[in-house]
Amino acid sequence: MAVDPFKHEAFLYGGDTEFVAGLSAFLRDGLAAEEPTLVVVGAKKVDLLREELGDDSAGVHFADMAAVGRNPARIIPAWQTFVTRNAAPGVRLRGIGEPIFPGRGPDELVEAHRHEGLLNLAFLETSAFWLVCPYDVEALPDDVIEEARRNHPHVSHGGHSERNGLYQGLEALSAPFDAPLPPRPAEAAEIAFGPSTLDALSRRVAERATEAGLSVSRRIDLVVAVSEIARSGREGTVYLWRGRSRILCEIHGQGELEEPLADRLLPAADAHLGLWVANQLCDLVQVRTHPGGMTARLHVPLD
Amino acid sequence: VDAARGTLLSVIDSEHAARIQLLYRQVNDRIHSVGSDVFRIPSDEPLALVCECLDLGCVERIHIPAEDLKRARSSPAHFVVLPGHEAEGYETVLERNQRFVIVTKDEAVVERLRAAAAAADEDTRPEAGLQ
Repeated sequence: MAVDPFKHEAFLYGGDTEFVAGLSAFLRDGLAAEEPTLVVVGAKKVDLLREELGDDSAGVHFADMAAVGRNPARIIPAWQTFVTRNAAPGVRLRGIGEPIFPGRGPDELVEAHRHEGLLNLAFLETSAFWLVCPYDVEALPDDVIEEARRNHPHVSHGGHSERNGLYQGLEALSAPFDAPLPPRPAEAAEIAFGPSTLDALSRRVAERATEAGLSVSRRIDLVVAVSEIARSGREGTVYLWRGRSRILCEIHGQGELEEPLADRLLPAADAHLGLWVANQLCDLVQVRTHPGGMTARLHVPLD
Repeated sequence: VDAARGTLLSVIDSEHAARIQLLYRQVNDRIHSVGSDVFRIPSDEPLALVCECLDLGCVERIHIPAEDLKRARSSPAHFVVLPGHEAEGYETVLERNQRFVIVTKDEAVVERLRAAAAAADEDTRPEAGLQ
């Protein structure tokens, strides 16, 4: 019997009424077929779907995208856990994930789009998993919807699902990710590091993070993340500055991210851990490959 | 174990499960060492550790003082997870309170993985640039 491949679909809707109508039908179909289902959307939308499903909502697991997907690089591991725990011969899985919603900042939005594209690679060999990503066409700008069309092999709207001719394909994902980062300010602190100065780097980042007003636990997170990445890079330069609501820290060094998913999948036993650790501890990690090497920009909120 | 964590944990082999938790443990050991060595956090003040559970998507933090963490680290096979995040069938609960649960796993599996990790120590790994 043929097994369905991974189906990654953008669901284009306008407002809460269409959101609930379209997705509650999708969930009820899954419940009727006894398919394990995970929904990761904002808390308000979780409530709307629960209310619509009534008692049936107990058969669906819900999670808040604001927590799970604050750092978009953490979403694929969450789906991996869902798939690993529920996949079995003959079992079909359903998911709803809304990583792109009004209120995402510009940097987060770039990384959330990247995440959407990488889902196609992450679950390329996963069968019988249907993941629907809702996009509110009334609340999101046109360029965001256009990017959604480039990242999803399937699109549905108005009750119709179709293959998407605008999907960019996997080839685009294998190219170095070099989307430009907003320029860092001229006043950013600059700290060069090498194999013999990693302890000094940690101390200087700690001093700067303290001066900038980060909480103690956030300071520790930042120092751990920076030092782990620097340790793999052996030498390079760290820049650190204060944004409006966060501390930004950029690490420059040699190398390239050869495997597009390397910063979010569980590292192999002989792999460096730096970028993976940073994604565990920071709200956003932007990794870029360029002719001069690599840049990792870490965002840590001042909260 | 709630519905999200599923009842089909048997599809994860015990070695994979221990590998996940050893990685989280490494993160927490770094948090502990930076907290004490760089920031001089007193041992009775809580550190915000990552939950060492099997959910790769878990983003919750455990607030635990270093002195409690030391007790949890009395064996390499012990891990610290949030209440409700322990995985039946993969680990045995040793201690439970409102803030955290200490679980233990198959010591032989953990030791094998620790040895493999030590053999591939970060400082001896091939240079790959920032990773």
